[in-house]
Amino acid sequence: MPQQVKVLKATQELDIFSEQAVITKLTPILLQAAEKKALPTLTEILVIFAKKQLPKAVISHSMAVAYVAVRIAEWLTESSSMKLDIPALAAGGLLHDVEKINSDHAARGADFVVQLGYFSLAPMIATHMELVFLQGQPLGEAAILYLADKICKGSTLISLEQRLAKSIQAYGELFSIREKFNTAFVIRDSVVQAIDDRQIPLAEKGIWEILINKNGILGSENG
Amino acid sequence: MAELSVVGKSVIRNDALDKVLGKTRYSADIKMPNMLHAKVLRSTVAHAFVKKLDVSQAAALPGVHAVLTAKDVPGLNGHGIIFKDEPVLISDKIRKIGDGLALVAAETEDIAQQALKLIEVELEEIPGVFDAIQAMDQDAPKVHGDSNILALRKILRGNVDEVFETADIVVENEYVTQMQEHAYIEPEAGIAYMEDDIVVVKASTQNTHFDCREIARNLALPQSRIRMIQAPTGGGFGGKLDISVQIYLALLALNTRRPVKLVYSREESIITSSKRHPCVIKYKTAADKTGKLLAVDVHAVADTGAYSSYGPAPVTRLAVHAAGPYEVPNVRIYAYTVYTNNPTAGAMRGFGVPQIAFAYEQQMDMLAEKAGISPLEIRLRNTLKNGSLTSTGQVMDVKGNIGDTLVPAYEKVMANKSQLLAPYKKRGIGMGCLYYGIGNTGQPNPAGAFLDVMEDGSAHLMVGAADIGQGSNTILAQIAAEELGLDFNDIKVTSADTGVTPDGGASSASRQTYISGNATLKAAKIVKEILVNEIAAWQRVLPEAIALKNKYVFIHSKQTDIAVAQLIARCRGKGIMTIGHGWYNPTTEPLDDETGQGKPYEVYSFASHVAEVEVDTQTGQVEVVRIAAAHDVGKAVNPLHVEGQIEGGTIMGVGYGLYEEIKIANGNIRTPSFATYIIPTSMDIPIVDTIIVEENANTGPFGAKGLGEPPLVAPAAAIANAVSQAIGVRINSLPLTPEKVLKALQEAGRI
Repeated sequence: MPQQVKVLKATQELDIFSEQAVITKLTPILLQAAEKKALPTLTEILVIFAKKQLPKAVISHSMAVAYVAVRIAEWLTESSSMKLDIPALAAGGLLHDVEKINSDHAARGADFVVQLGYFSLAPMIATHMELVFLQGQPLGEAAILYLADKICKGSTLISLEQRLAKSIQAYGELFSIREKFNTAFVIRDSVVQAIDDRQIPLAEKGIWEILINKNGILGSENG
Repeated sequence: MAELSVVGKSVIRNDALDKVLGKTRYSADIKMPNMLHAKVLRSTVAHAFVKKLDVSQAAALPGVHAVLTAKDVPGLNGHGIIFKDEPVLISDKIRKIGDGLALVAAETEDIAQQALKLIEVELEEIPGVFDAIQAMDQDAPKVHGDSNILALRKILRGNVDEVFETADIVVENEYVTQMQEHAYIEPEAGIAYMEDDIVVVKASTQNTHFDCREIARNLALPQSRIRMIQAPTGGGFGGKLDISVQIYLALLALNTRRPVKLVYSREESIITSSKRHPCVIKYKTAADKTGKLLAVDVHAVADTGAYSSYGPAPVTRLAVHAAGPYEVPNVRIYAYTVYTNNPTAGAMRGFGVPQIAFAYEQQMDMLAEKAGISPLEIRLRNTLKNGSLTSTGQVMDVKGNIGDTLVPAYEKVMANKSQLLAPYKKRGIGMGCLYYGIGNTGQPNPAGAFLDVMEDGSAHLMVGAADIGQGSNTILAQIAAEELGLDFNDIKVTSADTGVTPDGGASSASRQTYISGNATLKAAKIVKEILVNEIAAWQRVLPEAIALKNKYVFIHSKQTDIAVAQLIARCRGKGIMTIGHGWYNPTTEPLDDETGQGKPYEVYSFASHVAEVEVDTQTGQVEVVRIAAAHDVGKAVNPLHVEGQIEGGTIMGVGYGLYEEIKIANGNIRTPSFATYIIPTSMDIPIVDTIIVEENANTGPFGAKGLGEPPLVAPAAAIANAVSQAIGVRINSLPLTPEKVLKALQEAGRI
């Protein structure tokens, strides 16, 4: 069992999060939306990355988060009547760490997109490190981005359980860590409940299985 | 000759259905997994030194996989059909607008375009030269080296000066012709990818084997490591003889190890592709009082732009054909090819001859007028015929003369001569005649063919000749089928793929029917000999008694029940391979450097166009009402194709005569779209009467000669003569726009 997770991770890094796959997936979504509302195209975002001289690791993480967030949002909109702004989520995912090299990067990131006139992106970027989300609250773009950010460690997919265990291993039993993860767990429960997993295409099952921690906590570390 | 069963029939080309249904997959339609998109950073100034070229920001743009500059060209940083004077990417000096500075390959076209914007360029602009006559000045800015004169072709025979002193009639004029764009439907495009250690490039091209040699030299790889395949090509007309996307794509594929696609926009295509040379021609003709030509004195200057491309070759062809299809005992022709900072001029259908025909044919009409004879009479009186000497001293070995095409064309138009409609509209009839050498001028230009004939009676013909829409695949299959006694549909042709086919040379110079046709015929003859020997031994008859026809073996002209397929299978069964190969190189003699004397071509095609035009004297608008086009093609291998070539070339010639002009200001093309560059549409097309004349050439496959270019040579000349007859004023500059017509009428005091 644990072996499988490792294999899965490897393939996901290769196939799902390849720069090429992300660009192929997100280019049309953003291109269509940018014609109608104040959103950047994917190319414009890549130019921002280049001009900000963002480290490669941040770029690949942002791409992974945007990709996962968009996938989750698509599952949700396909499974229910929920309305989500998928293009905004794509752009927000790509730009959420745009000020990563500075302190207080979430707030600065929100300010940055406001300056560019992309107002719809500001709330989700501002709250991606700290979000209040209570059980029963309706799911929105901010919540999905929050969750996607947590299950992407760098550009590798990881379950919340596994990531929590790693954090505790590294920093000890801190209340702030537990609290941060609790928000993520609450969002995940809402997401999992709302999605009809039979709707998920086979190719995307890997993301789903990591999201629901199908292979169990701590699985891969012991393998 | 025995009756033919495949050659001479209008079989339907195999690619016709897909093309009319829009199913043909051109380069731009090809998609491959993991494919990257390429863009080229191009100069927007005409003449400058590159001071700085910083691609670091562009390279850092996510989604960008390669940004290449001149220093990334591993081999020679230069290409060109005759001289390698055009850099793949500019390292030091820009010589024209559109020069390539850097290449980008990225995940999407949009990202690639953005990357171009992130490249920092610093230039030091220097004065350019934009007029060919000025460029010949010693003090003019130099484009390459220390002279802008790239080539001078002289053709000298007899004593011209003496004749002009004593001649009864002398006509002297200056003619100006414009730059013309090929305007093929499909802009330049291609895709490249790695197949193990082989760089495969698939692109729209007229000459894969040339492309392969260029790519290999630039990439510093053996030619065997480059496989150049011609993608279905939406027209070329000479404009796809030069390198466009090929080297760029090969470099990017080799660098990224991923498939890379590059498709030019129409604007990029018009800005970067070669053009028809604009020329200034001073033309002086002497004749005796009966209208018999005595001498021509021609001084032509052709603007070849920033790079040589085919440059000197069309200008040489212009010089060789400068006297037209007429006997002229004394000639002095000087034809200059001159560098400027204008767009490059190179090969275009007609290769210099439409320019000079515009001059020599108007001269003929003016001479006729002075001699008091008709335009028809003066042409018949001076025609080249068997035994005549051409300007280059070649003895003509022909059956007929220009009358064989001119008379039927003239009769056709006269029989349909229409009535005038309104008093301000004037009609006139004019003619244009030509002869046209088939193949490259005084140069070796061979083509090869491989043929594999299989036991089921089908065959695979492999030829280097690129079918760019002109139909060579069909023609060559007909030739092979005829010789082997098979059906057209039994022959499958693979063409223009350096991994499979032998070199066929360029699809240019109206040469493929004649040269690749002869190569194909030789390959087929080898297989036929194997088959005939086998049946002769088997049936105890002499090989001469055997014929292969309609898929059956004939003995003493009687059909047997032995199928050709059965005979092939018999050979194969005995271990006798039924394969053949052939190559053909026309016999020519190079032109003497000083006198231009020699035997430039093995065979010539003849043609005449007669046009009837209607001129609106209020607006200056010229409309071609009807144009009869008679062409001696030797043998029409496929009459439908011949008609298509004649119609297409004639219409292109009408565009050249009336509408088309690349306008340039300081090296900048002001007409880079079909909104500003006007080509004839279906509304502008006159009635075209195609007349096929067949005077078999002994040296051609089944008597065939060549046809691709001749139809474009004469229309502009015929229209100019017709306009002159209609309104009584001569216009010596192309195209014949309403503005020029009105101005000429005003100057002559006719309005």
